Amino acid sequence: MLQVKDIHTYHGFLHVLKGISFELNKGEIFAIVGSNGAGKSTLLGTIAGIYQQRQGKILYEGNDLGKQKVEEVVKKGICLVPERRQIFDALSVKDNMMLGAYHRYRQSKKTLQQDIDRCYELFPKLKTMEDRPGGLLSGGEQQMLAIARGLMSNPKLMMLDEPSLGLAPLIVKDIMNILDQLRTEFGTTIILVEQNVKAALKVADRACVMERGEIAIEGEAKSLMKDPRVRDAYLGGKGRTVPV
Amino acid sequence: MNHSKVSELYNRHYGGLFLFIAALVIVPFVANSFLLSVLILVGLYGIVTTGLTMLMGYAGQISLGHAAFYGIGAYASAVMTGTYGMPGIVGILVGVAFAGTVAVLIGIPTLKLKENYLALATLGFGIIIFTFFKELKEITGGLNGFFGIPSFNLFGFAFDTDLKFYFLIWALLIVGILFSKNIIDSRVGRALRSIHGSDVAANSIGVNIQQYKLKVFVLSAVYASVAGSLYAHYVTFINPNLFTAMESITFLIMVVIGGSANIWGGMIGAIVYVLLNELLKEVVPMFFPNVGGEFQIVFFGILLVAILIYMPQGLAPTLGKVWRRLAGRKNKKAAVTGPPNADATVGGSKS
Repeated sequence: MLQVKDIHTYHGFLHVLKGISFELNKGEIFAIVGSNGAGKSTLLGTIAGIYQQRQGKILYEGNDLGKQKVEEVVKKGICLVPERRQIFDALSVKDNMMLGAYHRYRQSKKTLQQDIDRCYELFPKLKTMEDRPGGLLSGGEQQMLAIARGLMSNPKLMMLDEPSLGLAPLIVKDIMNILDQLRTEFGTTIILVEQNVKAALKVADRACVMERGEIAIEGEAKSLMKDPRVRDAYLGGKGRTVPV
Repeated sequence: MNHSKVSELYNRHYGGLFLFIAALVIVPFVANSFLLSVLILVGLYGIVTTGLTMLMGYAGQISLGHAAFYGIGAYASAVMTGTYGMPGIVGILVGVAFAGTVAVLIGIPTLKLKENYLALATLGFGIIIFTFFKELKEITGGLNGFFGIPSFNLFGFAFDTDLKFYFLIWALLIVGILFSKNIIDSRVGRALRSIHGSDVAANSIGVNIQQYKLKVFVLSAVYASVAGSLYAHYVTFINPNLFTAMESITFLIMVVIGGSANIWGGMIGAIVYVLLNELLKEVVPMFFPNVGGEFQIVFFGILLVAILIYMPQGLAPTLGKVWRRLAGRKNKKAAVTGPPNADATVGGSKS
C-alpha cells in the first residue's frame, strides 16, 4: 500500500531523515519507535505532505505522492493525527469532528452524519459530550476526539503521532484497542509513532526502531519485543542505546 | 412553521438586525450635524474593523499595519478623482487593486511569522507605507497633504451631503458584515477557525493554512482600502499623519473592545471607541483644563486593560447575551399570552 524509498528530509540545514525506507501492507499496523529527536514525527510529516523530502520517493497505492501538498494527500486517504492531540479548544466536539471532514464538503450531510455516528459507536463517550468545547475534555477524551476527527476524513491510511502521550495506562490500553478495532473492522492501515514501546509493539504487526534519522532495526513486532537491543534500550533491560 | 417558531426565529436571529437597521434609518433624521459626522466616522472605522475582525478573531493573525491599507485606498481615490478626474468608483477599484496587490506581496513573507513577530512585521510595513505617503510629494502632496478631493459620485448620483454619505457608509458596512458572516459560516470560515485553533491540526486535516491566511489578509486589506477611499471623499483633504501606526493601533483597540471573535465586534468597537473619544474630548477639559489631546489614549489604555481582564471576549458576546435574554423573555411572554390559535408551547417546541 505504501512504499517509502530512501527519504531524505531537512529542517533548514538540519538533515533529519537520512535515507528512510520501508513498506507497508494494507490493513497492517506498523509501529515506529525511537527516542526523542530520532525523526519519527518528521517522517510522518513527510508522508503527510507537511514537510517535503529533498530526495527519495513515497509511493501510495502505486502512485508517487511526489511533493504533493498536505490537502492533496488528505484527499487521497492519508490522515495524520498530530502529536499532543491539537484539538480545536474553542470548537465543540461535533465541530471538531466536522472539521475532520473538511475535504468532503461535496458529500451530503446525511453521509457525514452517518460517519459521525460510526465514530460515536467507536467512542460512545464523545456522543454524550458532542456540544462541549474540545478544550474542556480530559486528555484521554481529547485523544479519542483527535482519532475521531481523523476518521472523519475517511482515511485508508491513518498515522498517529504519540497517541499515548500523557495518558494513564488504562486509557492507553483503550486507545490501543481502538486501533486494533480500526484495523480489523474497517481495514484501516495504521502507522503508529510511539515512545510507549511496549504498548506499541503489543498492538503492531510490524515495527521499526529509528535512531538519528535512520531505521536501526525493523521486523515483526513480536520478534522486536524479544530483541535484546530493543529490550535493553526501551523495555527496561540493560544498556542504553540501540546500536546502528 | 407555527406562529411561535416564527416568533422565536424573528426574536433570536432577525429581530435584532431589524431593530438595528430601523434605528440606523431613524437616527440621522433626529441627530444634529455633529452626531451625524461622528456616525459616518463610526461607519468608516466599522468597515475597517470588520475586515480586521476576520483576520484577527477568526484566522488568529494580528496586524498593526492596517492604517497603511486605509491610506492606500484614500490616496488612490484622491489621486484618481482629484488629479485625473476619474469617477469615484474607479478610485475605489484602483485602491482595492493596489491594496490587494500590496497585501499579497506583504502577506506571502510575513504571514509565515507568528504572534509578536507578525505584529512587528506588519508594524514595519505600515511605517514603510507611511514614509511613501510622506515622501512621494509629487503624487501625494507629502506632509502638506492632498487637497480638493471631490465628493463621491456614483453613476451621476452625488453623495454630497452628510445624510447621503451616512446612508452610503452604513449600507456598505451592513453589506460588509453580512458578507463576512457568510464567509465565517461557510467552509472557509471553519478553515479559518481551525487555523486560529491550531496551525498543526489545521494542516493535518488538509487546510492550506498559508493560502487561507493570505486570502483573509487580502480581504481585510480590501475592506480597509474601501473605507479609506470613502474617507478621502468625505473629508476632501488627507495627509500622511492620518495613516500612522497609531491609527493601526486604534483599529486594533476597536476590535479588542468590540470583541474579535464576533463579526459584529468590529462595528461595536468602532461605535464605543468613537463615541467615547468624542465624549472625552468634551469632558476631560472640564476637569483637567491643562491636559493635551493625548489624554484620551491614557483612558483607552485603561479601558483596554479592563476589557482584557474582565471581558476578554470583548463587548459583543456580552451584548449578545443580553439581547438573547431579552428576546427569550419576550418570546416566552408571547407564547404564554399569544394569540388564541397559536400552539400552546413555549419556544415552539411540542413536548
